[in-house]
Amino acid sequence: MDFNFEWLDNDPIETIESPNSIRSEEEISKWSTEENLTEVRRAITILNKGFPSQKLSILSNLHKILTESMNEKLIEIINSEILSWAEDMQVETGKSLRLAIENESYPIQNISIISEICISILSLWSSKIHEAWVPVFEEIIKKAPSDLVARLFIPACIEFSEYSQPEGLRKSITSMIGFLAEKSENYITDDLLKRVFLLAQDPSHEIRESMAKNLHKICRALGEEKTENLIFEEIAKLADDEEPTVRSEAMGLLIEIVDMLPFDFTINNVLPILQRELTQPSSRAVKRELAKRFGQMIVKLEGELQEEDFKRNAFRFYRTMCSDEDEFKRLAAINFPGVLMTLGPQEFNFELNGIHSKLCMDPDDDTRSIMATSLHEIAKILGEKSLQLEETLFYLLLDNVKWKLLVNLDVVLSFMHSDEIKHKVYEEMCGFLAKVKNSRFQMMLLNSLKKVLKFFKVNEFILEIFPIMINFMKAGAWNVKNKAAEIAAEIIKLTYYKDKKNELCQTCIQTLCNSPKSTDRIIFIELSIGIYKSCSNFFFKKHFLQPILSLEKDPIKSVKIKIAQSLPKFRKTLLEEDIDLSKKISNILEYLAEDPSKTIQDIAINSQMNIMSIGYYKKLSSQKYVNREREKKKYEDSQEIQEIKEAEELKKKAVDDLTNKARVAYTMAQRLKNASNPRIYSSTSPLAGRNRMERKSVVGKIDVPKSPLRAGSQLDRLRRGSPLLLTSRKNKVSR
Amino acid sequence: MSTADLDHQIEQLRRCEYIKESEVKQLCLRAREILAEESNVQPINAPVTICGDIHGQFHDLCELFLVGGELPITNYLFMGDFVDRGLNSIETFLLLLALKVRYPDRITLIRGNHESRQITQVYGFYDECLRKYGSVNVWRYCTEVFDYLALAALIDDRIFCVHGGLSPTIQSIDEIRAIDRKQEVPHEGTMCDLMWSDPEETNGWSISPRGAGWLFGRDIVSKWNNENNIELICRAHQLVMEGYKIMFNDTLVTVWSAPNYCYRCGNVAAILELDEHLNRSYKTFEAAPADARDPPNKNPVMDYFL
Repeated sequence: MDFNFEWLDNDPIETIESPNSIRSEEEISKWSTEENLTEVRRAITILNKGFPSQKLSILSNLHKILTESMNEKLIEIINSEILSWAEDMQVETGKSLRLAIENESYPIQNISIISEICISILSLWSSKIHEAWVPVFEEIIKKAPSDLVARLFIPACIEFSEYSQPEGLRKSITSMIGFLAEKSENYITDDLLKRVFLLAQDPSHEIRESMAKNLHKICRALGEEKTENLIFEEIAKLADDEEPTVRSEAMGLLIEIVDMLPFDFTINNVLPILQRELTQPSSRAVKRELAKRFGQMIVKLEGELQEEDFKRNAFRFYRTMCSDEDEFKRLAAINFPGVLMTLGPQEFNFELNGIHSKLCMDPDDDTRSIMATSLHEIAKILGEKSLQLEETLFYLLLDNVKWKLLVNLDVVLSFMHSDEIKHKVYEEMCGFLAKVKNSRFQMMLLNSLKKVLKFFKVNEFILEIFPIMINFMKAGAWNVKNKAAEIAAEIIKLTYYKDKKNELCQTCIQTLCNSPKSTDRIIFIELSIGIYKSCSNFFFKKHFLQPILSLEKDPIKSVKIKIAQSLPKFRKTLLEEDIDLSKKISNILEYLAEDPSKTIQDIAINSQMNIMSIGYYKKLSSQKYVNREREKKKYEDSQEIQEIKEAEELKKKAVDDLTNKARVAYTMAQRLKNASNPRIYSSTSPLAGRNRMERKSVVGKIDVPKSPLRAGSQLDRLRRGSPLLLTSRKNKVSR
Repeated sequence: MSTADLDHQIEQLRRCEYIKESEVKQLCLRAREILAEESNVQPINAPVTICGDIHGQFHDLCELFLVGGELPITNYLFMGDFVDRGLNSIETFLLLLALKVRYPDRITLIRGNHESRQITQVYGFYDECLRKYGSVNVWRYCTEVFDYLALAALIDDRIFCVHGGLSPTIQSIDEIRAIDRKQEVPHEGTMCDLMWSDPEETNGWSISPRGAGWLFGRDIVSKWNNENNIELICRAHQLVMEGYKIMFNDTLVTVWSAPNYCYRCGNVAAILELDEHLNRSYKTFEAAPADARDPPNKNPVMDYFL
């Protein structure tokens, strides 16, 4: 389009003096159109009477204008005038018509008209027009009925593929035949196939290249037998073409279709071609194509890898990729999961582990970034053996590409069954959370943290992560605050120590709900929504409902708006059981609906209607909702069991410790008892070689139970679950 | 125009989608009615989030809403220069306008020097309207709304917000209230100065290199603040690489909210959050990432092999 964008390059400090660009009122009027026209009417007016640049604007927005109804007249104008328009207008029309057909704003009943236009337009010689209209052709073929395609497009393809036609048109036909093949095998008639062969041997290498690019669609349409008997010979010729770009497309084509060919045929005909290029690539373009599709190739040729020669050459090629220029190393990195998947996790113990580490620690940022992005896939393939990824995991986690790794860190950790690794990851994440100040990076970290939280120990995240989340909720950007609120709610949900859980709730109420800053109170409501979603109604009601309701008289509008918006979400908790509270919610909304602020009024009224709507009741009483609530309750009950179980384990451990201590003390006492008989002292005894008086003083310094009952009473206390034990357990938990 | 229609338009505009010329006309008419009721110096209650120039950088405006919070919960003040320079001035201005119509008491828009018929013909808004609609009708509707925008805002009677700065022709806020603002931005005079002036690390008044407005110094700010019982002047109008710049012993601040201005300056942007006690907190942000600017690919290409 010929609109200028000079203003983009103007000096950033502008002055008021710029008379050259100021238009007169008259000039402005010339560019105005009648008001109150519909979009279609305005488009018609401009197409009939407007300036070329106005027409261009309309044509480039056709896909939006055609969404309006009563657009037949506009389509008629396009159909009748398009061939007389300037090239740039035809190009813009092509681009926007493609979008219009794709989003179905172009009426399907007119598809035959646009099809004929499309064929007429393509017969023009301009390559710009072809570029814009070939995609229109693709969209039409997708939507057009088969008889129309057979009647119009197949003859057109045959006609336009003749040598007498311009080169650009023949090239476009290669793509069009591809689209036809994608739609149906029936469209690839014998006549058309002959044209395919002609195009594959066209004097222009660009056309041969384009045919090679589209030939796989024809192979897929015709199937194994015809590909083997009719087309493969052409493919072999393309693979031997004098032009490197054609050979490279032919390599891509071979890899694309190799999985549909029979095993023996592949061994005898395809492998030799691939092997030749893998061993000694005939050009850089071919090497790049093979490197790009290496993973795809060996996954498809998994069976044929039994051919030792081929396997050896293929992996020699892959190894050279890993130590080649950055471009090839990146391709090696992209293809690594494919290679590992084909060879299997057992191979990781050998050479692949080294290659993996080398690529992960490569000096090129992009290579490391690709490795970080795909680490979760490697972990999935390695499964139980993922522990071998520990070194690279931490290398990448401390690297500047960590943001890529964080996206799927949860998948990686799910395969790493090691508390030590998880703890180390936890420590790194806490470090990042404390350091990162940029809100975008904070969001990335929080998104990742939410997913990996389940891998960390409850005590860990209560002590370190929860306070960080409180800080984020108080001082972060709003998106960070909201995400931190979600995580804080998740932490409260995952915490299975009852006392701790209550403590966390109290912290939230004290620091957020009772804060003098309105933003804190708003985020408290957001946190409560998170709690409501993840914890049971019972829990929510016990800890959060009253504090939220206490915000009803908040002097700040923002808080009132948040309350009015959020109340319908909480109402289920009160629906059946608590009529008083239910009334209270209605009263709060009524109160807010009378607020002087129009915005608050609107939202409160909307919430009232929302609460009273039948759809709302239906939603809340739906089985899905009831089941979800049941699951939440079940989860919380299981937490209680988990806490008791953990307490019992602690108790058992403490009993065992004390029993052991008592046993040691008893043994020592027995030895001391025998101390009066110097003959039975061993040389290692503390009493050995001492006289009677000396022995007495040593014995006095050793803490010996006065009677065996003393040790026993401690054990009894433990077994009974005495208050002493409970205190020590509590201390341990809080520690 | 019903609330549902308005909500639908806001949704469309948030996706940076085209809205019909007839809808633009209706929206502008409705906005004019609301803006006409506002004072030249619009009073605002804290808490409020103050934003500087946007300049048609629509995707960065969306980033601003992420950082500053969504309307209507966050109360916003935009200090002008919504259009020109960026590639999406229409969508930017119409979104702000639609939000103003939807939540009139939760967003305040004041006029910048680019909200002018003449300047928009030079710096892109006019061309954008012509390019996207094939006529200048939309430009006309929008520029008519410009005339109704408030000239300044006063937060809790303590913080004076204006696009450019002060004018030597006035000594009090009341004098701004007396201006007939419903006109094109003049080339001189108080109204022009409010939109074109800049602070300078000197004393007194001096001539501005911009050809409009003045450069005003520390003593001018101090006198204005003392006489009008103001603790801070908050303004925009000048690119600040760090997003905000505090001057004159914390009595004036420049806030700039167009990150990577003109898609090439490499600056960060900022907004100023004032809580109910007028405590200040600056939030900075960078330009929206490329994936937020482009429509998502229907068949996304995989990053890696599997």
